[in-house]
Amino acid sequence: MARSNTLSHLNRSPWFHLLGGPILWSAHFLVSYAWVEFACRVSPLVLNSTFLGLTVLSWSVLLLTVLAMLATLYVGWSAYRGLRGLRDRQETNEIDSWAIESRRFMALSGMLLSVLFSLVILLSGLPALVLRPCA
Amino acid sequence: MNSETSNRSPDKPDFPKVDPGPPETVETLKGVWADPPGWRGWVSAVQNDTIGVRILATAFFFFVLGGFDSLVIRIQLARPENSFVDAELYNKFFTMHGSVIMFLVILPMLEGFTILALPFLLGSREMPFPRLGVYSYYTFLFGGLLFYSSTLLEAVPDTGWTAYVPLSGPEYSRGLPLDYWLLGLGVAEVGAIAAGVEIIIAILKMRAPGMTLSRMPLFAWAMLVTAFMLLFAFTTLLIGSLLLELDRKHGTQFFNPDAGGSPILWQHLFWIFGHPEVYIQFLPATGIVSMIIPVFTRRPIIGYRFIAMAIVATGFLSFGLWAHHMFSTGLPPIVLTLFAIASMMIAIPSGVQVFAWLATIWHGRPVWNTAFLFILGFLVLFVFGGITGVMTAAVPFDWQVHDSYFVVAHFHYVLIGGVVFPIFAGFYYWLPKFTGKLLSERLGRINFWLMFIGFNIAFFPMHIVGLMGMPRRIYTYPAGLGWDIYNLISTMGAFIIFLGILIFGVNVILSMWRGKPAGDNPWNGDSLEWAVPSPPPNYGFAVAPIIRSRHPLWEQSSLHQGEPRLESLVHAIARWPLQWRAALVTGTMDGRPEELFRVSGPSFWPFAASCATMLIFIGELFDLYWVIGLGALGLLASLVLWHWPDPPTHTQQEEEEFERTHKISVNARGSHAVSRLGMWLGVLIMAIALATFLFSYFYIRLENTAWPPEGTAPPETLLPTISATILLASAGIMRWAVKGIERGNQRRLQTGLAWAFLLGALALGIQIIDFTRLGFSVDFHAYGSLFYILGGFAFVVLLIGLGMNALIQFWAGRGEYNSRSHIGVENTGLYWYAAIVIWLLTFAVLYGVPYLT
Repeated sequence: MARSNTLSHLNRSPWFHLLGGPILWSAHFLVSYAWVEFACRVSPLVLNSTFLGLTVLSWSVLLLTVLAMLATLYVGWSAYRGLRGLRDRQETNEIDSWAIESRRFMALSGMLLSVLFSLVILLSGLPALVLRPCA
Repeated sequence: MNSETSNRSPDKPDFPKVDPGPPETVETLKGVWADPPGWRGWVSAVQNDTIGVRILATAFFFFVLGGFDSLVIRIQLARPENSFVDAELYNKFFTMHGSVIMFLVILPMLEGFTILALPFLLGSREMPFPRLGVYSYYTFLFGGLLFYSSTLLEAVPDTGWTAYVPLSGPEYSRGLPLDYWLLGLGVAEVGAIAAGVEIIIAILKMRAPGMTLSRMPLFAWAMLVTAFMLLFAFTTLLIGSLLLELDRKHGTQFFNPDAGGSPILWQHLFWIFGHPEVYIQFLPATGIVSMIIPVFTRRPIIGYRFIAMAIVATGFLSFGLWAHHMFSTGLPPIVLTLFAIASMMIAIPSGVQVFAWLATIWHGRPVWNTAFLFILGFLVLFVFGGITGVMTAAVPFDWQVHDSYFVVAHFHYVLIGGVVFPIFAGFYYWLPKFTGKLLSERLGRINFWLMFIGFNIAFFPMHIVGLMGMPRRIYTYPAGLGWDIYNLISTMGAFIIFLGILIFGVNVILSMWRGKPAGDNPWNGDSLEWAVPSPPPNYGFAVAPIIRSRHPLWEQSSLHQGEPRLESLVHAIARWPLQWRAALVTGTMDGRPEELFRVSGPSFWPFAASCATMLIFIGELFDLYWVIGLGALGLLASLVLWHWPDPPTHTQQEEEEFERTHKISVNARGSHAVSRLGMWLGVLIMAIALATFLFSYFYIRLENTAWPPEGTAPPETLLPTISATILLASAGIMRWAVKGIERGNQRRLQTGLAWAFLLGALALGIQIIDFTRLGFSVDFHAYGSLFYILGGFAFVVLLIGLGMNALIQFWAGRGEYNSRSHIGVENTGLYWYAAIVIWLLTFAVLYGVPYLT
């Protein structure tokens, strides 16, 4: 059963809203892990040099953390905007109303996940402030 | 709440029932959905209820065997310096116990239950690929039997369920035992991946009309996330097992540090599987809990959205914990904290679920029957196990208790308390639906209290004895260390648990023999399975339900009320088609009806494919290469015959008339949406396999200072560049062919497929020639091993693509495809592009990385 034309503008962003936060955390996690493992084994001089009391490697982890956290918060913000856009939307057609309901669900759920995963990203990066990156 | 829904109290037994359909068609429907009787049914039945019950029964059989192993372990440890079994035998028992329970019991039980119950929970008639379900069952059964057959040859594995290298490598584990472990469980892992694919598609594409993602039962949310985790975790383990088997039998050096390999790589690969595996078992259990608590507290669950999102968050976070099993292997401090924090953070979504359940119980009116008691037992034990889990996430604490009985206590609290207790709750809750008979409440309560008390007696003392320093996996201990009394208490507890399980068995047998009739809805449940008779008819729902609530039986006055066009559709499918097994495909998010398709019926070939798969593994186990060849040929033939198109049972006019009337496409040759998603999942599995190979490559690369090793020249790049260019051209031609059939141009399709095939074969040939000129072998260094295994992977992927291409050419020649129906061509196209991307990435790494250093 095809959607009515009034719904044709709805794009696939619900999946971005829902999974954007967890995927960004996954990316931050894997890149941080691979980067630190690589840097600690190869041990290039530039990464071990210090700047404002921290090694360049620590700064790179912190920078990565801030970027990932901002991107995750952006996903949450985008989900919030999506939710606002759907707030007053009422469909007279029941089948079309299912699409609106599921998008509301995805957007609100995406906001929850973005908050959680931005927190997890932040906490994952903070140890770089106090620990030496390599043993 | 919708105007046509009612706010019925869960206490009032006037629940809406499903429309059984027109009386004159019900018998026909039964006949269409019936599997063949007798021995033919044993090898060709595909019905989800048959397969689900078989998986459950087989898993329970293995549960008894694995449980027996644990009793032997406990008897041996009951007193110091005991000689009930010697060290060697003890090693075998604890290896079998862990491996059987983790691979052959808990997960298959949950998968079996899902295959059995999911269509009823979702308001559907079947799983999307019933034949894949059969393949999944027989590979699980054969894998389990192969694994256990090691006892016949006295070749029982003895390295623990983690099979750490170098203990499990060629030097320290000679002979067959470890090969049994790798290959027997490998077959079962193939089955788990197959079940994962089927479950994902069922949940995303085969829900009842109106069952949006936000109305889906929480068990379905849990299984959706679990099934995706299965693909990621088990594919990684399969690759790890392949590498270890190659090291053991074919001279590769992946895990040999003397030749550039790394034993720690095995730990990474194993735990990338191993830790998510815990959550793969735990999440379905939480799904069971979330289904049962509302029913026995007489109110909707509190925090549905929070629970659903907690499941999603847990699924992701569980892949960020793997190295917390490796805290003592010398990881850099920042890496340690990354894993430690993820290990602590996963307590948040778990805690969200626990608080949502507690709030629901707090605001509800609990009914204290056996299923609910098991849920309460779960809550107590899981919270306990969860807290010790957070403790071990702290690196310094983990260093203290690593490999001690404290860890044994922790994971048994999580796995028995957090998973086995909900499984028992599920048995008491759902068994009456599928047998039509109630279990005894009196025996149920005895069963619960014996298990709950026995469990705590068995496992709580292990915390103490672990903190006192008792290491795990020791076959005995000297007297006088203060461990004696705790071990004796643990052993007594294990026997009490055993007694509880025995009572359960008695209860089931008595229920089957003379249990009270269950009726359709004995618990006043809210979800769709309680709207059909107990036991349910083989077609599930003659008239599809229309869902307008998360608790349809509590909040809807009718299960078939909706927009007129929708009502018309759901009633129409009870009358047409009646010649083939028809099921609805609905929108991924919104549950909008999209397609009516033919679900595949009984077939011998999935069973044959399982046998052939088994032959391949047996051939590898006993070094019988002709058996491997036979198995490969058998698998190929079985797959072709398995997918052979069914003859049409109606005219195209009938299809078109149904489509015109109900504005929904009819696909009697299989669903476009389902098979497209199936192919995407196939591509995802290949991508996971590639990622695992690349992870291994770069990990080993970092372990080596010289790459390639000294004395080896970097590979020449001319021939790979030519083959890659040819393959890229073939992708363009494949696209041209697919576009051709979309416009109904059969000649263009055949020409394009033929050219794509020729170019693919040419590229493969050129690359093989290059491999013959490499100048190093697979066994001289991990560099060579990686070069050949990654290249071999790309070869196999392309070979499969060539096979698919040839098959599609064959069917295109028979005129099977037209502009309306050509999903096989589209899928082959998708596979072809994926194979080329894999090829390019693989050879870019193999030929590029040596030049970077």
